[in-house]
Amino acid sequence: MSHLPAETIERLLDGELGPEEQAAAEAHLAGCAACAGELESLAALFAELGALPPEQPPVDLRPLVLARVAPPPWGPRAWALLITQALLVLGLALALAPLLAPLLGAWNVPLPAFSLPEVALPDWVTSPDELWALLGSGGAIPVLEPLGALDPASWAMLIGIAALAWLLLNGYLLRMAATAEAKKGRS
Amino acid sequence: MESWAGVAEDQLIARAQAGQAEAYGELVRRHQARVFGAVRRVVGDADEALDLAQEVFVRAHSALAAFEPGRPFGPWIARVAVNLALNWVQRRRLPTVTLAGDEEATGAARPPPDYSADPERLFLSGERRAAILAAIAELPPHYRAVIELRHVQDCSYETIAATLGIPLSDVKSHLFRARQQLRRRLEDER
Repeated sequence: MSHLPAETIERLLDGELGPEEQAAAEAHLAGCAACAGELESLAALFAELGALPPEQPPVDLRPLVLARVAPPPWGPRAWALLITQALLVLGLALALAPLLAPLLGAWNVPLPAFSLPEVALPDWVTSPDELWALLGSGGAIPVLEPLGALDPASWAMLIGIAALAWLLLNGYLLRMAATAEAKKGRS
Repeated sequence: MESWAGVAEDQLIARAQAGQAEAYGELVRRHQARVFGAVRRVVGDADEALDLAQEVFVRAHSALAAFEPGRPFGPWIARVAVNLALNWVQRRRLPTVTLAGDEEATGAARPPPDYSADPERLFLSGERRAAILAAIAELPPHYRAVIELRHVQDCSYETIAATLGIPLSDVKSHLFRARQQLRRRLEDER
């Protein structure tokens, strides 16, 4: 009497035999103690493998995963704080600018005298003045003013813009740092 | 703070897809044992399994937008886990390590055979469980993966083939050889 191939017994246990194959296999098993024993042994193995329990990780994965998939929220509170800071800075800049302007004016660093470099001008341009006129400057070469020449209002605006830029950059850097820290935090 | 414990999984998935991080956190909480266990059985090393389990959830989050509502999340993420773990092992070619812990022996009794389509979960003693895990850890990585998918995650042959990207014939031969090795190894234990 030939026995069922081991693969057939496994497929029977897996429920992967067709109806006819399954009926034939079961008919054989009913009369063959060796194959029935093989089936029993495999079934025990299958049951044990299926009984392997889930295994809790040593640490909760939630905060570690969330730190990687959801960076710290940049919510309404953060925006309110940023706007409040910005308004305070602007107010301070406007209030202090008249006081600061004379002090900052002491930094009046004279710009070095410069002259237009010698360049080969097209034939139809007879002088640098003519070139400036052509470029729309009305013939006058613009002169850059040193910082000390700015009035208090301009100073206020300059300080305010610098402070705002600092705030925004700082907020961005903090956000980046928090994200990087969260990613690192899985150890 | 909203309690997520009673929220149905479909709802959690929908909320996570809508960008609610805490909903995804609850999905992680519910499935982390399944994912960690699957990854650890394929990889072997607990520390690496911890990192990989995180990676599984991060990748699953990226793919969440394409996840079809109504599908069960657990089997899907378990397949992602086994696939990722197998790729990782094959890339790293880790030496086989034993998964046996230091569980105390409690006197294993051989469970009765049962080949019904949906067998009840048996209780495995700590010693027997350690022996099975050690036997699995001695298998080649692709055998570990098919055993995990078939026996722990209850995947069909077709699903295993699709998950691992291998032909159906390979699934059958891998399973057959893996089971033969497991039987030999576990019979030696008795």
